[in-house]
Amino acid sequence: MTTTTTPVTPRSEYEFGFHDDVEALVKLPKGLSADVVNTISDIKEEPDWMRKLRLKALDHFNSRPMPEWGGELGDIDFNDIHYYVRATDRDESSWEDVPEYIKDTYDKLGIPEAEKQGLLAGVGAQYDSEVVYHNIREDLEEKGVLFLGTDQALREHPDLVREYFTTVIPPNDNKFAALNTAVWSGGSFIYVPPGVEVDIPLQAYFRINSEDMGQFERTLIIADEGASVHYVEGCTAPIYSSDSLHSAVVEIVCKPGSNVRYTTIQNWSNNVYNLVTKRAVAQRDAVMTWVDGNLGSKLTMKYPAVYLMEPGAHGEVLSIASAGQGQHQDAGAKIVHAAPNTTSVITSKSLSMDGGRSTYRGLLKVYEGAEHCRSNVRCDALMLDEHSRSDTYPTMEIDEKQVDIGHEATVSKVGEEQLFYLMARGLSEEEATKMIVNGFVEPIIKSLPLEYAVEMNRLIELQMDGAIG
Amino acid sequence: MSDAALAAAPTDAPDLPAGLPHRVDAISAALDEPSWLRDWRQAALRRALDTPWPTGKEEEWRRTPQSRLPRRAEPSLSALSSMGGLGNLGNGAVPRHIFAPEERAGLLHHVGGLAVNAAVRADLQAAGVLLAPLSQAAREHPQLVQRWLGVTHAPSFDRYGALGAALWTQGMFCYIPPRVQVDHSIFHLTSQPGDGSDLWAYTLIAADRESAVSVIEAGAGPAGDLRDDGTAPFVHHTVELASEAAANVQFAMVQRWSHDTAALTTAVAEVGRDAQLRYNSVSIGADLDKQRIDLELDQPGGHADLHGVFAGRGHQHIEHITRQHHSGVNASSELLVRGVLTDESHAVQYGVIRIDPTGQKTSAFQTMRNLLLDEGAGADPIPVLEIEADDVKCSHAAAVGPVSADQLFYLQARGIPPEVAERMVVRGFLAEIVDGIADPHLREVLDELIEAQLQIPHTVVSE
Repeated sequence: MTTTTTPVTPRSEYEFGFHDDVEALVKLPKGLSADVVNTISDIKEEPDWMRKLRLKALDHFNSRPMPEWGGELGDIDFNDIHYYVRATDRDESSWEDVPEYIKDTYDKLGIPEAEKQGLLAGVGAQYDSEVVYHNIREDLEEKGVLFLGTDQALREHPDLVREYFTTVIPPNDNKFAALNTAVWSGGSFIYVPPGVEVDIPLQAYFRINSEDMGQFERTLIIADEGASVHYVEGCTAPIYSSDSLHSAVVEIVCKPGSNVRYTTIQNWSNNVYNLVTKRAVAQRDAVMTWVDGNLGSKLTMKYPAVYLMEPGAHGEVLSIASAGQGQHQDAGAKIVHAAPNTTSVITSKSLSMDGGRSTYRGLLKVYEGAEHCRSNVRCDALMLDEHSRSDTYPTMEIDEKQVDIGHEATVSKVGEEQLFYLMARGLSEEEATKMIVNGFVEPIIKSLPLEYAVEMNRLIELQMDGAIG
Repeated sequence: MSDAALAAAPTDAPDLPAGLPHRVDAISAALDEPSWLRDWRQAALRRALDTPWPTGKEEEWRRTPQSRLPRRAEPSLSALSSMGGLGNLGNGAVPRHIFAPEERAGLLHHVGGLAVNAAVRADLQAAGVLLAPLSQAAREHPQLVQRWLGVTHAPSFDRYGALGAALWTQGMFCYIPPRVQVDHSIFHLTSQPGDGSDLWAYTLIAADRESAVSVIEAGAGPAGDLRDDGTAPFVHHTVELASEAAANVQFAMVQRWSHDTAALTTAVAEVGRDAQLRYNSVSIGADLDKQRIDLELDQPGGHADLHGVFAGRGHQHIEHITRQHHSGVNASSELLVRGVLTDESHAVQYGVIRIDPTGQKTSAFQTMRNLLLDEGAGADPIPVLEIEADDVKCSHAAAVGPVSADQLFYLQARGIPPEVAERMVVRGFLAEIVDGIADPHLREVLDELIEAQLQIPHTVVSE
């Protein structure tokens, strides 16, 4: 990507800003072409249908204009990106076998501490373009739960992948979904058999290490009838002087009666364009929940979607965004009620500080005939100073009468009375502000597993350091 | 404009009729306008020629069924050429207005683009209150009209706004001098004769400092007025409301065009320092009714209300595109839209609260509520916030739903038949806006209009 002339200002104490000086094993030259796509497909020794799909998606990407809404995308130079970088040639299932420099990275990030402590049912880690580590608890494996890299899944379970791949997000859904379909690499594949409940979270960790790198992971989750699973992903990247691109696609199929929760804590460094398409379809009586935390990146455009396709399905999006200096978090949610008796809840909390811009952008759509739908949308924004910006763009398209649809939003600053109250009790202004912010985001934080809730609070506090006072 | 300047300017755009500059000259001549007003129209026309039609991709246009909105720039010159007589318009075709209260401060009545009546109560006239066709006012009070005409950005909103400024044939000017408080409403009534001709109307209301005025505009047209080519008649109405310091302006626009008409309103209200302004929009008629209404609060301490009420039936499309723009400190604004939709009617509300970094201590609110009475009805409420100041209070709420089953049950439990109960709930739903209208006559008329539109028998409900 273009080397920016203005130095990237790191968010205060962005602790994941280190990078490893590693000679990549394979690094395709910069630029996007049918050759690059073919080479990726060759390296992965893919079936022919996948290669064709990639090439078709590339055509679509090339013919589609850049979106003119959302954030500032003009600086992205698609010819200045490495579309494939591979640091190791293996996807290990034993942590000891992971190459030392990569292990170091993840040790610094606290992975796989959680796995060691038995807090996770499985762990995956992606380093640049490839998944470097995947492991799943034995008892789950015995029950038939699949948790592996999507490339590995394509090799080992080609029919299963082919049955669902691009059925939720077609290659021509949008420009960045087309890009991902053309050059995807890595990501997680999860299949949970009927009736199996994965009781503690599966986790994946995504790391961009190389400069001028595009990461295009592709995640596919299938929860069969009555199954349940919670998947958590975290993302970090080093701070380089030029920008990186992360453009993922996540497809989720919730079969009847299943329950899927997908949690993202996105903490990319401040020079990453994070342009992600995430969508789930929920069948009869299924429950799909997105918990979407956006703290990092230069620009995020991400609107996790739930399509409620059959009666009784429930969709929920909990979104929290925090935009500091030089950041634009254009996040939100999309819920489509396509069947009667479906319900949904969108709760969004956003913080803007230090000149940052938080945008809630949402769509709530009710098709005619989707009777007795209920939906509630709640967006609250807190502005911590006068240089920042907060936007709310909630679109509602309601074509059915028998519905109960409500939307509410507020934008406010930290209340002077609240500050005064706390400071009168001996807290400094900074402590008091943090306390108020904690209270503001609490409804979302408390839906996270404990260790992530702690982490999330810590990240928000880190971001606020230096932004206040 | 000199002939040389005319020749140098673009005179045609491929997607507009040829010869528009000459047509604008002809309009201006027919209305006996001073040359500065003709030049002002020509400048607006040049903006229109330079501006493309909306593509339909703009946020303000993407939900508009543009196929139902004729892209015409044809002011009705026939009306102008028959100036001076009502006889040939055929009185039978002119819809009777139900706005004729005895107690009024003034009345301007346009029929088919012609002013047939313009009068202000004698004491108000003596105090300097003006109410006249815009062209006449431009002749008689050029300095006043020049001071106010085009003070808002309505004439450059988009191509329609620019065409509206260039092509209007029916103009209205109302001016209230400093400290004059007008006790009753001033009425401006427009009747379209039903010959399928388009109407380009321009309203300019200026309330000088510490004055107070209530102006009610009502437009009506008879049914069955499709043009010979089968297309809908088109009405474009530009509204400029200007209020100086501490003025109080109550404005109401009651739209009940025929059910074939495509109506487009381009309105901007400038709110002065510590001024109070209320814009009431009432949508009853038209096939497509699209209103773009901006509130500009660039002075400290102003307050503006924008209250919209609508009743949709058939295949009507009713659209409110609003903007509450705050750049002055300490100002406040509130948008309140409530509508009832029957049959296959559809409503869109795209409302933006925009607060610039200078708009500290703003309070701005939006509420959009849509009551759906039939299966085929639908609504897209979109309340948008764009906020760049931190010391503000902003909130918005939007809702879509049917008549609440609890309310129906409550009324039925008291022996009220279900149909009547539904009507009572509808009335109660709209009451927040209807009851907030200052003019008692308008309040009364409105109940009738809404009930007739929704085919609610008035007597049953009021018992």
